[in-house]
Amino acid sequence: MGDKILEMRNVCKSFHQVRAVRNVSFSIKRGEVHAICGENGAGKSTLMNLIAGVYRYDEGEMLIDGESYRPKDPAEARGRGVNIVFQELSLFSLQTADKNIFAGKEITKAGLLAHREMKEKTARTLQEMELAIDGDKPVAQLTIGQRQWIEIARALADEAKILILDEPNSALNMYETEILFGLIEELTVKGITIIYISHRMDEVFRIADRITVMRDGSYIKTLEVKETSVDEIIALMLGKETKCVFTRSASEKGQVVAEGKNITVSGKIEDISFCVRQGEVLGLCGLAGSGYETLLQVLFGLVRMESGEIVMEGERIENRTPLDAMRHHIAMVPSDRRDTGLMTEWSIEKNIAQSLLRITSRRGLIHRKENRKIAEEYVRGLNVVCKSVEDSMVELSGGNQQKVLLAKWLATKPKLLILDDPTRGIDVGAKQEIYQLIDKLTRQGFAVILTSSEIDELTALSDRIMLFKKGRHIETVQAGASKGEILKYIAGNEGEAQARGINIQEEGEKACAGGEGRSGAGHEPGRWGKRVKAVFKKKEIGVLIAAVIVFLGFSMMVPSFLSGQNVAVILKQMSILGLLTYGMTFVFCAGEVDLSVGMVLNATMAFMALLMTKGDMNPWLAVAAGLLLATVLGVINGLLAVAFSLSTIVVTLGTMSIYRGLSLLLNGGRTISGLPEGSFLIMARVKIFGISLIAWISLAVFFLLLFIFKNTKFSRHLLLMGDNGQAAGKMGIKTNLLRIGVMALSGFLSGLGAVLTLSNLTSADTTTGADYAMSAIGAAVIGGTKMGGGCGSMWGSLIGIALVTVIQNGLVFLGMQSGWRSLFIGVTMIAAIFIDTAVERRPVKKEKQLLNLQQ
Amino acid sequence: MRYIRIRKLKKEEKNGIMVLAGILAVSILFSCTTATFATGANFLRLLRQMVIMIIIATGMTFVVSTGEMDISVGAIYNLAVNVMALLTLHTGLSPWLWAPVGILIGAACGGMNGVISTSLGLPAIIITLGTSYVYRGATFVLTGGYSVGNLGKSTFFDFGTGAFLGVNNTVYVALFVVAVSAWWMKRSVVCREFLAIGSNANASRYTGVPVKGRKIQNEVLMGGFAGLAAVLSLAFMASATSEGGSGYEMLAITAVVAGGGSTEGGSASVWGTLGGIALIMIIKNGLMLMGMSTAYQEATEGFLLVFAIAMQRLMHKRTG
Repeated sequence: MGDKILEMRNVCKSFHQVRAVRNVSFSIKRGEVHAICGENGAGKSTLMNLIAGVYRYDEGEMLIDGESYRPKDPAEARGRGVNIVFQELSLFSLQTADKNIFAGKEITKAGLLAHREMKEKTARTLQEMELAIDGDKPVAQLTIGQRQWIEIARALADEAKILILDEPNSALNMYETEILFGLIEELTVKGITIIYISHRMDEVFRIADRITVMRDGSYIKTLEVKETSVDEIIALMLGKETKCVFTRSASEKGQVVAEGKNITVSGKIEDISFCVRQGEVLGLCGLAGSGYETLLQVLFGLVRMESGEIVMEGERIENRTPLDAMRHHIAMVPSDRRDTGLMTEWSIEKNIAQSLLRITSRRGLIHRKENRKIAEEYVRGLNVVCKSVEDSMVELSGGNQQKVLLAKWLATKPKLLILDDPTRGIDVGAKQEIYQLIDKLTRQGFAVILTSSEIDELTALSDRIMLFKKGRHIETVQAGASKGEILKYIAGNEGEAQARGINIQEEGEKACAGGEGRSGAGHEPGRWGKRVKAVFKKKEIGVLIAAVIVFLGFSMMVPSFLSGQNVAVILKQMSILGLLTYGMTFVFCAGEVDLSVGMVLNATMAFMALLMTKGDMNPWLAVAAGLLLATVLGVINGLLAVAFSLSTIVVTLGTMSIYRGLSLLLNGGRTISGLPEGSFLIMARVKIFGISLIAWISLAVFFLLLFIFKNTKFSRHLLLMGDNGQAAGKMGIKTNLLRIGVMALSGFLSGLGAVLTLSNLTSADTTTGADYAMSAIGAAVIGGTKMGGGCGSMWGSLIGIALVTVIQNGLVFLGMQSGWRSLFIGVTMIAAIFIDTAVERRPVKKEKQLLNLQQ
Repeated sequence: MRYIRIRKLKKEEKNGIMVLAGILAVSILFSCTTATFATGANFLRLLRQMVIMIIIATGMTFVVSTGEMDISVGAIYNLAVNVMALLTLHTGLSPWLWAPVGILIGAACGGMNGVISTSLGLPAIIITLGTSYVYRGATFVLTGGYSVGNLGKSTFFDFGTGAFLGVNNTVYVALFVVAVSAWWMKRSVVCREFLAIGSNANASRYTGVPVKGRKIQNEVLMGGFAGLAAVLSLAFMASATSEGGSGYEMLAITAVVAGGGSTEGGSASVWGTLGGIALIMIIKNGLMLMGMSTAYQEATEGFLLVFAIAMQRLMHKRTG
């Protein structure tokens, strides 16, 4: 010990003139647990992001082991042994634990994924952590706490030198927190340095060796834990002078405006009661996730409460939607201006008018003059700096945007005004103006509910402050309470042992459609039983059974269906469509869609036929040229999508038409026939074991692709990208290259399909391929591959295309024309998506019930 | 003073000027390269050809304003045309009677799109990809793949082929629809809420917009417009084919985007879309007059779509 592993010298970072980190210099010793303390906005998280390579620092320098360190992205930071566990999870929710842990740094042997090694390593890591996590489940089905562990395990699998934990236990229960602490001890024994951020003082004092206090982006002091106390740290965090110098003038408290009685939302808040009077400011305070945010959402009709009631001016009301709340004269200024507050591209006038629409409109028509008048009135009243109300929001500063947001809601003339952190991210001057405004409003008799990320602000502005902890209202303090007192209540450690699972905040997490039900059964079936069960759980089986039934059905209904000739036709059709479907499976996994495959196929056919007839080219050379062309067309799709950051569905909608034009240009609108005899063109007529060579080739390609799908980094990264593109970027996966690559693959396979088709038809016609894209999409979706990415099945696609071809063929036998075919594809595709979504939604509900039971 | 004036030019106006400039440029180009472009007859024909696309693209303007895209419009349009034609053929009743049915069919198909996509929470573009096959398949099933003609005589068809002041009657209908839509788009609460959803769905929810309901209404509206286009088409052609309407969705989306509608939602202009359609149809018409094969026309359509969207992205990146 004793030597410095990480040293910071005068590190600075600014975001748009706001200096988030200023001149921070301190060092971290090898093998210690170093806690960083500070209030919200003190710059802790920004500093950690600088160390982890999420941002680059502007000035100063960092040294790791005495060497200069300025990572350009998290991947580089990881390469240098710095790992971070983010506050917000960045997991791939449809993937299992090992895929998550090794994301972006898969272990390979001879270029192939070493599945067993990764699985074993994962199992070992999880075992070391003494956790019972099912390594075969997609992480979306795990509890939040377990997901947090995966995130930590991911950081550890990297052989980290420095591990940054940014409030790691906000989602963990008592038991899990204990394990975490045990783990931290073990890690330090191994010589790993830990930087730990937490708001909970008792924990910091338990595990940390040293504590660094930050305030307003500056470094304050580093203290040895043994030589300090909680009080000293809190005093340092707060600083001597308080930031918020404002005293409210006295206001007349009138009658009760709003009252809440025993409001409960399971898993979020429990049994909350409150009341606000005219001219009163009620503050709400708690750590993030402590439930006060939910109370606001309930009041404004965004979240339904399960029990309890809300009374406005003596009348019981029910807010099912924000519209209901607005009708009952409740207004809410949300905390996130960009996400939930304003239309940033719109003008001031339109933004203010948005909440007025239903108030000023007549017969469904907007009353523009009146809206403008009101907007101008409020813009003047709130002192918004702008040229006119037609200025767009992006031209305004944060403070002025906030004022417009306030104006927007004040204009609705509410009786109860909810202000959710109204001064977030604005400068001091604007803050003062907003304080004065709140003061003025209360004098006018508004009832205000206020939250703030700054406790000073709350204590200065509120008449009473309700304190929340873990979904419960624990205490109410009166105006003038000190900040230290409040902090002790909300961040202290009493009552720790209650309510597990209260912190579950994320909902609607999607589970993979694989249908792996929750195997929570108590008894252990034998190994074989387990395997059989696992096989039957797979969705592919369902599709296979469907395919078999359909096949048998047709054979019974139509005698000639099973004739050798027809089976050969089905097989050929399936072989060609299959290639496109396999390509589409890869494309879907990456979260893309390729509508142009059929046209690429058609154009390639025309191109090859032209080369062979007019160009007199050797057929094999023509095939090579054709495959090249198809790949290039695929690359063009990918390039367009990447260069203009467009979705591939739109791009290929356009290129589909372009490629059709290309094809028509090549064949001049006529079928090109008269291809030379021999060479690859006889493939369709060569039979091995009575089955056309085409089918064998397609099958071989299938197995090759299956192998690639399972065993290469390329396809693994595709899946990860399709699952969570942002997280994939964080893990150092090159997403742009992958997008182009997968489109190229799809193009290449279409080209291969063209080769087989040409050999089958011995001429290049103008219509083949028109509905291939849809068949391929339908087959892939039926086979269980998700549109939108992250999960797919090659076997499923194989069975899917078998089903689609059999049905299409059978329909012809039943005397139904092509109309039924497209009808069928469309309906099955939508049905498949429906089933997919239904399966996804189920486990989440179960989890909720489980939680309720535990409470 | 002047400087400020130029700066004050809104995004919409800028876009409008660009589209007008584009129309002017291609018109001059085609007038020079072909003898037949700048003739009265061609102009009148062009106007008439534009009618269907104008109506569909106007409907698409509403869809794009919410940040969605509908690629089943061509299929809906064609289904409506064929159903109306079949009903006329088999019942022998006046097509006037079946016109509202056509619009209703369109609206119902649109409603289905909307309900499915909102209940699954998936973008309309994916759902409509599937439903477009359903509607197209249904058309084929109903017609057996044959064209429907010989619908007899009716004032309905007289109206469709007739002209007032030399201009085909349907053109007036289309322009009337555009004018009403443009006014409605600007003035109505509903359309403002469409735009709000497109601009920031979360924030619009926070201001009391019933997001799901509006999205369904939006799709119903789109379907209704497709149905109306079908009515006008039947009135003029007095026949229906099972392959009609393919590629219309692409043209419509291109026109909306060219006319200033953002693919990310939040802005769209009916007049702009009209300009966009005019531009596209002039280019198509000119290429045809120049004797270009359908190959070039097809390719041009696809190219225009990608080009329009890519341009918009680039402009957006620079300003925002």
